Amino acid sequence: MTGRSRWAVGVRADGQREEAVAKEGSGGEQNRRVVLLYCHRVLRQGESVGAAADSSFGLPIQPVAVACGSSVEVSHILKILADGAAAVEVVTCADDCCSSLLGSRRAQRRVEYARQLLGQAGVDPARVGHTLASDATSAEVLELAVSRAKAVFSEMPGVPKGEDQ
Amino acid sequence: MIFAERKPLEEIVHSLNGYRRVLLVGCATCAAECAAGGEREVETLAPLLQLALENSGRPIEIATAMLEKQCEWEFVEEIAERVRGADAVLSLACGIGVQALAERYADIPVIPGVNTSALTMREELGVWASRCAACGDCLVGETFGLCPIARCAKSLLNGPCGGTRKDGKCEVDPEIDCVWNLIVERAASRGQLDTLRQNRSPKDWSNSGHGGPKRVVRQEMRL
Repeated sequence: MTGRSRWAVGVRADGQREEAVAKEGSGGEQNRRVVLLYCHRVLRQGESVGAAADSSFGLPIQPVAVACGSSVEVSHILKILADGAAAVEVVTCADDCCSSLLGSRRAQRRVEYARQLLGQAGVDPARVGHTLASDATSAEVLELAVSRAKAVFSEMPGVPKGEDQ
Repeated sequence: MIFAERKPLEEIVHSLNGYRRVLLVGCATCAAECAAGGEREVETLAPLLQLALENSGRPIEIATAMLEKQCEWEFVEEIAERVRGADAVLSLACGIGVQALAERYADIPVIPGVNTSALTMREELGVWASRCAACGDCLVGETFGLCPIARCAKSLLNGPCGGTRKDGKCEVDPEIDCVWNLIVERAASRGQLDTLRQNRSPKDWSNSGHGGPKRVVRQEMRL
């Protein structure tokens, strides 16, 4: 993986367009970044992943709260990876806790599809994972990102497995 | 709707060999409805291709665009400026859309990213099934609104064939209803089973694809 990405996003028939968005990864740290997409409802009341992410977990974790696991699209996951992230961990509510009823299942299927697509692209599917959680502390949620990183990196901290490919 | 499916990624990656700047163009009509080439699929394929191409050691720049319809000239025109900046166009529209782009932008390669395969309707979320074969000689008026050409594995005009499963499914595919079984059930519910006893003669296929490329001219619509 080069850590460099560049693509243009969207031109609608009505003429509205977003011109080419060039995103330059910085290699190194960029290649070790783990993006944590989590449903904000998985957290125990009063917990904040954003604050906890600042503490030392030995690798850059980028937490992104989403309204529901079902709002995570396959394209989001792939764009994050194409933008240079090493891995994506999707954390959604346990099935019996999902306020949208099917949100977690949708997320799970999309993650499975994303992993399938990555396999077709010759990219390690383990770079994307999905975990169900409920009433979790911020540390527990961040630990899921660390676990995802462990599945991707050959050692921690160290060189991403992907650099050898 | 016209139904299409994304080509295997390996085939798409191979077809982009030698190009450095590719414009990936989706279609917001049929290709979007069948989840093969709408905005969501364009936004999914662009980073996926980027990952695949970087992984194979030949990263390219992929820009994306959406057209309301790739099969209408006025819409096709909208990407003229952006096509000029690309080495190739990868179209996620049906075969009609691909050819429209290729005709309008004849000086640049236009590569199909999907295979167009059927005329379908969406039965439920994530499930599409054939409904029409564009045979050019519609007989669903005789078959209680169900098309045996598109929906019977043998395209029988006089059915059922005898291979219908006990659960009313097709012997060729247990996931698909035997359309002749459905026709019989519908006829029975209307008290018109006798109409099915009449033997239907061979269709006139001259108005289908077998009659050569189709071109229709309606003078009353022309200037």
